[in-house]
Amino acid sequence: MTTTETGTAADQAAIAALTQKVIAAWAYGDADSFAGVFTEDGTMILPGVYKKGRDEIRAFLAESFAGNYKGTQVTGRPLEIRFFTPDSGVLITQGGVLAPGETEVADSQSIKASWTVVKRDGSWHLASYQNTPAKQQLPKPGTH
Amino acid sequence: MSSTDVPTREELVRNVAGLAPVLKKHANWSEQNRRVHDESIEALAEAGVFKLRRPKRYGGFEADTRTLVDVATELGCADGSTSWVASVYWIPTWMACQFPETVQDEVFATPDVRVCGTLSPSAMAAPVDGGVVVNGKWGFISGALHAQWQEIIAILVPAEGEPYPIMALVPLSDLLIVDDWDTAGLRGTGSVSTVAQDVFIPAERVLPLPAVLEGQGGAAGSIYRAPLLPVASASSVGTLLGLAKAAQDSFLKRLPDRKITYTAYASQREAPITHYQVAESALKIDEAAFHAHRLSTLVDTKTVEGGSWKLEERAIARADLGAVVRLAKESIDILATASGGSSIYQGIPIQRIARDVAAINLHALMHPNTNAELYGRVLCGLEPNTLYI
Repeated sequence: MTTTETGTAADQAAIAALTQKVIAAWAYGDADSFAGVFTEDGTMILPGVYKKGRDEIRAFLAESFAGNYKGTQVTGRPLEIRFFTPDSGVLITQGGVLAPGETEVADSQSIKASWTVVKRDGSWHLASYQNTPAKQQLPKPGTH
Repeated sequence: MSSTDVPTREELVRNVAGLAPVLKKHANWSEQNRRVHDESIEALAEAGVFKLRRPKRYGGFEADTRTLVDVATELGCADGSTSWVASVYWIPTWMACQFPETVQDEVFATPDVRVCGTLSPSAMAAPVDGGVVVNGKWGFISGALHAQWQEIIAILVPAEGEPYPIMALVPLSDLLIVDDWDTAGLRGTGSVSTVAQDVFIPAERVLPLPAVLEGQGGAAGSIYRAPLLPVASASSVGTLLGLAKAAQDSFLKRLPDRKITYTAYASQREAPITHYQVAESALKIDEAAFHAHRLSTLVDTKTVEGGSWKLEERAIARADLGAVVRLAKESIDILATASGGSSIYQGIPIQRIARDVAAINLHALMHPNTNAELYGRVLCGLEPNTLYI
């Protein structure tokens, strides 16, 4: 993982720790805890999904954990952390969702993600999360 | 129990050898169910296996590592997965003895307590009033399914200063088990993943990992006062000797009734290729035993003498571990190769033994290449490129 000069080692580790919180919350199917990683007005953008605010994010996750993501695990690791100011930065990760029985992320599920993070009252939160399929691009414009 | 009630090495080995019928009976069940059978765990408890590294003041035996080697050789001869889990428990149980006595009182309040663990810092810890809060997930947690406690590793992010790795003790009831153990080797170990979500750990159950790696538990001369990696290495090698002996037993047992199909050899026992294979395999067991015993002698001697460990001694401990692992696999593979198509049926032990030893050879701390490289690096006068030495 590469990092920039600003931001203490403690800040970098605390930001990287957000990925562990999400991995644990996912394993428990705990939408509250996952949503709690976000700021109150945080946003979550996934392919075909846009959720604004903790309440919308929590509802989406609760539905997903009971539906498509039932019995799944999530995995991911930090690739890079860059600070914009001592209180804000971006974490880039790669990972994806593991179906029951899988131990490595399938190409079709492989994502890279940007976590825009802010420090509020001494702890780091997720202001915006966006992921994108890592191994496939959008179709050529004009194809339907 | 007073210390005079501690059984001798010979008694312990005899008791454990007596478990073979039970452990063998459940070997196939364990493979199919991907976990050690409850009756095998009970049998290990009755034979005193979970007392070997338990402090004497809690009724344990504080056995030396030569005893661990000899006991695990018997266990590994009966079933590799059961032996692996037993030897894994010995390591975090020893690590638990690095904590203050009040913590040990709590852990060892459970008779025959089983502590599973890890060396992977795949979790993060944040300081809070009175302790830390941990989030994360650990894979390959052998023994979790029958443990009361897990020794965890996490990176602690202090309010000020650099993050550093910590070791902590957590009741299994505070963790989520993710049953992801579906493997080609050591299939019966049930080495599942565990997850911590916002788990609070009081400060007394947290130690800096570097202190544990140095092993400063107990009084001078105590088994708890030695660097972790040589201790862990010596705790692990017996299973390999047992697996190699089991392959030899299994091969020789089938030998009289086997021909070499599509050749003129009506008996495999008459073929010179077999003689060569059996001899090569047997000598490799002897070589593996040499390294296992040199390792346990080093740990036990230094423990009694109480001197500090030189870097070269720590490196050779890992080299011995790697050598045992490599030689056991070579020994087993020679006989597995000579065991014929009929040996791939699930009921024939040598196919399981070959898969188990292959799995152990891939373990990050046991891989023969990694260990040889580390030893050679130190012999060449370079600094080790790992914390785990």
